[in-house]
Amino acid sequence: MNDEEIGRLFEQSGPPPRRPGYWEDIQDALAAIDDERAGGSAVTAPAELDRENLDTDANVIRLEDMNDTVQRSWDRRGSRIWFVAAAVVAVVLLGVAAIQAGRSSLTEVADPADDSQPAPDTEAPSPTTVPQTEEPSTTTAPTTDDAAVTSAPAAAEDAGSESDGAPADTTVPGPLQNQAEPDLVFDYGALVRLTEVDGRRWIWFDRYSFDGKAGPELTEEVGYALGSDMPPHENVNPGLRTYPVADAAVLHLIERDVYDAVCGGDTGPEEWYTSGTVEEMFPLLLQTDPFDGTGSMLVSLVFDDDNEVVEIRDNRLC
Amino acid sequence: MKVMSSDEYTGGNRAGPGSTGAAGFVASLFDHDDYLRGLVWAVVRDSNVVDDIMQLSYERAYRSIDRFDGRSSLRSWLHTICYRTAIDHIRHESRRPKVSLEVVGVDPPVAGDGAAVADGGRLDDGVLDGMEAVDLLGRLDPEQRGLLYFTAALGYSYDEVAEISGLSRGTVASKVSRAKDRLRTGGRP
Repeated sequence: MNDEEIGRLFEQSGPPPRRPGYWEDIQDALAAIDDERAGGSAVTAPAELDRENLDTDANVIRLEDMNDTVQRSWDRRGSRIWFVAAAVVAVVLLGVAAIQAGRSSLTEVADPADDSQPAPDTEAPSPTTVPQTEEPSTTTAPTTDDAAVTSAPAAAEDAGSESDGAPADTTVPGPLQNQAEPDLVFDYGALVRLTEVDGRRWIWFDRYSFDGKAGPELTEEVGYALGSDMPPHENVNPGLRTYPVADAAVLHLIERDVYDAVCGGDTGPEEWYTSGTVEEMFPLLLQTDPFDGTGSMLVSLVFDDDNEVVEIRDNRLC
Repeated sequence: MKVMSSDEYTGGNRAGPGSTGAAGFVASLFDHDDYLRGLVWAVVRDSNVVDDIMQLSYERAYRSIDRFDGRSSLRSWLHTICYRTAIDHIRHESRRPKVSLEVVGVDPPVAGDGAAVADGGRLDDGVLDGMEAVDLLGRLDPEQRGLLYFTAALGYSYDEVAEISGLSRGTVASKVSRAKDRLRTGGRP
């Protein structure tokens, strides 16, 4: 069957006639867009993505808190202000902590038999200790991703640590584990959190099911639509899990201005994506309001032979 | 309304000679709408939504017209947007519980159907009637239909289809090949 014959197939089963008023409806819709532009409010110019500060430590540190509602509303300028403020607070608190530690040592020297004094914490940081700078929040909007996180299996809790050095809750219960099935090559679901532990990046991923009961239905066709030849994993096992991210992983992030303007550009052309390594792109991700109100970001993942994530594709929809 | 060819439309909000804004853009669509509708229809096969997807596609195109830099033809650019919008629709539909891709305007395959096609003869003779053509194409995945439409009905090269679809050339080639195989076998994978 050659192309000519296939072309005839399409001709023989052509589209239905246009509905009455087809062109008028389109013209009205486009005219409404003109009106929006004239009004200057309906479609606002989104902030430019920040490509200047891709490698700052501050951005990496903030990976821990990317699902915080406050961060969702951060713009570039705001993030810089908060970073400076957080850094100042951290320096002050570290100084206070150092002074207190010094006093504690002096107390021990003066009265080594006194067991009531808490011993200084000399343990090395836990492998799962999460460096985090807690930004002061000016909003109290609840986040929905916490629910997803708490439904996780072993590594469900990621309490993070306070920047004041308080000992409370600086670890997750149990080390993060690669929960990718050995033959997993492609996955589809919600990115709910990014974590960096000992220089290793992890994603917290809520895999969707085939039957739609745990998020959008994952089908082979959807897998193809997501730009992958690789079929989704047959052992669905939906739910939250953690995957390590390869250092050389590539992140394809929808450009915010396009997303805002076009809404639904999740399957847009490549030029609609800002792509780069996770090193470059995670900070960008933080600044692009990744969580669209559902507390997560729809993504597809590709794994390498080592079972690490090597590609994250932003698949947000309107 | 003045009908403007794709050559006259140079992108941005500077519509064509004598046409500006929405009216000018709509005028520039007249030349292309048949091909674009054909593409959307090839993908979704749902007469209830084709017009809506077309309108949504045109709205998206108009909103992002400033990004059209004229490197490709207007038709190619519009094909990109229409294709993406149609695929978006399929994805949205596929996410609804109890609504599978197969019901998007396509009857589920019935055992025995297509046997005559699979047995050869009729396809090669090119004597399929309209209903048989609908049935046969309906057995392909939406994306396969879209890619086949590009290559077979519109005559796009694999490179052009790759650019439009966002897939690699090799992926396009393999998907088209797979689609042709399915047609040869009467729609069976």
